[in-house]
Amino acid sequence: MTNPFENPDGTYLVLVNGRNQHSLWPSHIAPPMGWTVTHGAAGHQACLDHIEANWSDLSPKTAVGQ
Amino acid sequence: MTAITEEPYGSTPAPDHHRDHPADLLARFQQAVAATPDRSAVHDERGSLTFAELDRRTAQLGKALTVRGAAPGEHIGVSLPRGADLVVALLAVWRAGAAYVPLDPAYPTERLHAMVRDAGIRTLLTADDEQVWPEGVQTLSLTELPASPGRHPEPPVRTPAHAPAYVIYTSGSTGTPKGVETTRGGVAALMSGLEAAGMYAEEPRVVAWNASVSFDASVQQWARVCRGDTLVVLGEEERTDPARLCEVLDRHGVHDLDLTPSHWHLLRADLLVRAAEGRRLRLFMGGEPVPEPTWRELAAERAEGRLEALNLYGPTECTVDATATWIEGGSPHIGHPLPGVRAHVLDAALRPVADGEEGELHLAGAGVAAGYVGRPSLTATRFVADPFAADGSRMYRTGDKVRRRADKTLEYLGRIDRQVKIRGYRVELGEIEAALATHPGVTTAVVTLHSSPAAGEQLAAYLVAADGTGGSAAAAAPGPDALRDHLAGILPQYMLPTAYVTLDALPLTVNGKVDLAALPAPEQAADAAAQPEDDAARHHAPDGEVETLIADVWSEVLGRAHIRADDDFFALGGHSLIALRVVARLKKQLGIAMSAREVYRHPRLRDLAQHVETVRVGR
Repeated sequence: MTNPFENPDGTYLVLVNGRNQHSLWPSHIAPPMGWTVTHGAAGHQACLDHIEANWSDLSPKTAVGQ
Repeated sequence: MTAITEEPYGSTPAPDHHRDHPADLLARFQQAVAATPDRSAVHDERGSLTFAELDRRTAQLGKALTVRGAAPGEHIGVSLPRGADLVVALLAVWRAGAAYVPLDPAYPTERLHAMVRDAGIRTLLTADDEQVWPEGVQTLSLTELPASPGRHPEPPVRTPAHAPAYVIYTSGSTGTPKGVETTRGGVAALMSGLEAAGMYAEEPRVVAWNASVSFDASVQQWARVCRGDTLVVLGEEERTDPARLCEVLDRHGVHDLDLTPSHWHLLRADLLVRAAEGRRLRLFMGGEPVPEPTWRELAAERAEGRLEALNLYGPTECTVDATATWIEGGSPHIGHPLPGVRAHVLDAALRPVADGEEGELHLAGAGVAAGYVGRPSLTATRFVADPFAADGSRMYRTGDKVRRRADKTLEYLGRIDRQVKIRGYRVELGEIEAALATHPGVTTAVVTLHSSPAAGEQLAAYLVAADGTGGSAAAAAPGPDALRDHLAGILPQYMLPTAYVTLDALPLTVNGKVDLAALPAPEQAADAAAQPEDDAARHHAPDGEVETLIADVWSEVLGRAHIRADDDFFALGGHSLIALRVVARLKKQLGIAMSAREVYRHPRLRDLAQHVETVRVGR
C-alpha cells in the first residue's frame, strides 16, 4: 500500500484549522471542509519546512469544538 | 481531485453527556472521595490509602507542584518505582493541571536526559537521590512533603479538556524516541467509552495494575481510581511470579487485571487453575495481537463462565484504546470502535475500501492526541485533516493494515511500515539500526524480528563492519558483547537485539533494498560463532550437575545449541518472561523454589549455578 502522505516526490498542501493545528495534505485530493490552505502546492520537504517554521506550539489555540 | 464521502462508521452514540463533554477525571475523583472517603483507593506491597487519604496526599503534593510552576500545559517528570506513591504522584500532577512524563529509572541515563530535554521538563518527582538529571531540573521527593495539612484539601486546578494529560515516549523510526502528548479530554473520553461499552463495570471494582507506567496501557488501569475503583499496584515480583500474583489477586479480591498476550502465556497455567476453582477475573488484554490459540482458549473460558477477556486495540496516539471486543467466537479480531471513536479503513487515495478489503486504519474522535512533542512536521504528517468529519478535526493514520469483516468487526492484518511489537513493546527497527550505526565499528546495520519456536520473538541485528573489505570485515568487526554494551547505553532493555551477525555485505534485492528473506537465521549464525574450537572454549563448558542442568534449560528456553558457563542470560536473549520458564524448570527438576528476580541477579550461568547450590545446601 503506498502512503499518500509520505511520497518525497509528491506535491502537497499545508492545511490549518481554527485551532492552528497543521496538516500535510496531498494536493490531488480535495482539502476537507473546516481547513484553510496556507501553503502550496509545493514539494514534500518544502511543506514540512513550512510547517516547522510556522507551527511551534502543538497545543490547540482555543478549546472550541472537537 | 477526488472527493470523499463516507458516513462516519462506528460512532455508536454514547449518552450525550458522555460523548460531548465527558466529566473531567479530577471532578470524578472528587465525587468518589465524597461518596466513599473510607474505602480503600490504593494498595501496594507495603500498605494502603483510603480515598480520603489519597485526596489529602494528592492535594498536598499538587500544591507543592503548583508552587514549583506546575500548571496546565506544563510537563512534570515522574521517575518512581511501582507503588502507591506512584499513584499519588500521577494524580497530584493532574490535580495541579499539568501533564506527567514517565521516566523509567531503568532506562539508560542518556535516553532519560534526552526525554527530559525534549519534553521541556523543569520539575520531576523521584525517590532516587543517585540519579543525575540535566542541569536546571528541580527534583522533588514525596518524602520531603510536610506533615499532612488540614481536613479540607484544596480542590484541583481547573483544567481545560484540551490541556495535556501525559507524554509517553515511543520508539522513533529515525533514531530518536518521540513523545506522544495526549489530552485530559482524551483520557476522560477513554474512561466514558469503556464505561458505555460495558467493559468497565458500573459498580466499583478492585483493579490490579500490571503494565509499566511508561506504556499507555497503564492509564486504562491506574486512572480508574478517578471513578472510584480500588487499585492494587502489582510489584515487580508479583507481576512476574505466577504464584505470588495469584496470592495478591486472592488477598485483595481483584476483579480486573491487564496483561499482554505474551504475559498471559506465562501466567495461564496458574490463572486457569484459579478460574476453574471459581475465582473469576476479567482480563484487559492488549499491546499486541492475540494469537489464535490464545483466543480460542480464552473464548472457551468465557463460554464456560470462568474468565472474561477483552481484546483492546489502540495506538498511543489515540489515548490507549480505540477499538475493543470481548474475546469470544472463532478467530481473533479487534472488534468495533469504542463509543466516541470513529474508524475509517482507507486506500492510498483516502477513499473507504469495501468491507473485506484491506486498507489502512485511520482513527478520529476525542481520543486523538495533540501530537508529537516538539515535532510539528511529523505531527502534521501523521495527524491529518479528517475528510469525513469535515469540521476542522483531525484523524490519526495508524499505519495498521486492517479489513472490516462481514460482521463489521475489524481484523488486524499487520503494519504498512517496519514497526514491530515484541512482547507488547512497540519498537521501530529503524531506531535500533540508527543506534547500531553510531558504533564506530559499524558501517551499516539492519535489524529484524525473528521468531524461534523455543525463545519466541527475538530481535536480530545484521551488520557490516567498518574499515574492512571483503573477507577481512568479519575479523575487524566489534563482537556481540561490545555491540550490546554500546546499545545498552542508548536503548531500553527491550530494544536490545539478542543475536548479532556480522556479514561482508547486506544481501540486496534487484531493487537495491535489503533482502530480508536472504538473511541467515540468527541461531545458526550465533551457534556457528560459538562452536567450541579450542581449549579456552572447552574450559568454559558447563561443569557439574547444576551447571549442566541450567545449560540444558537455557538451551531449551533460549533456543541455543551451545551454552557456556560464562554466558550471560540477558545477552542470550533472556527476559522476565523467559526467567519464569527457567524458574519453573528448576522447580520441576531440582525441586528448588526460586524467584525470577534471583535469575536476573545472577545473569552469568556459573553464578546462577552457585546460587542454586547455596539454596540447595541451605534447605
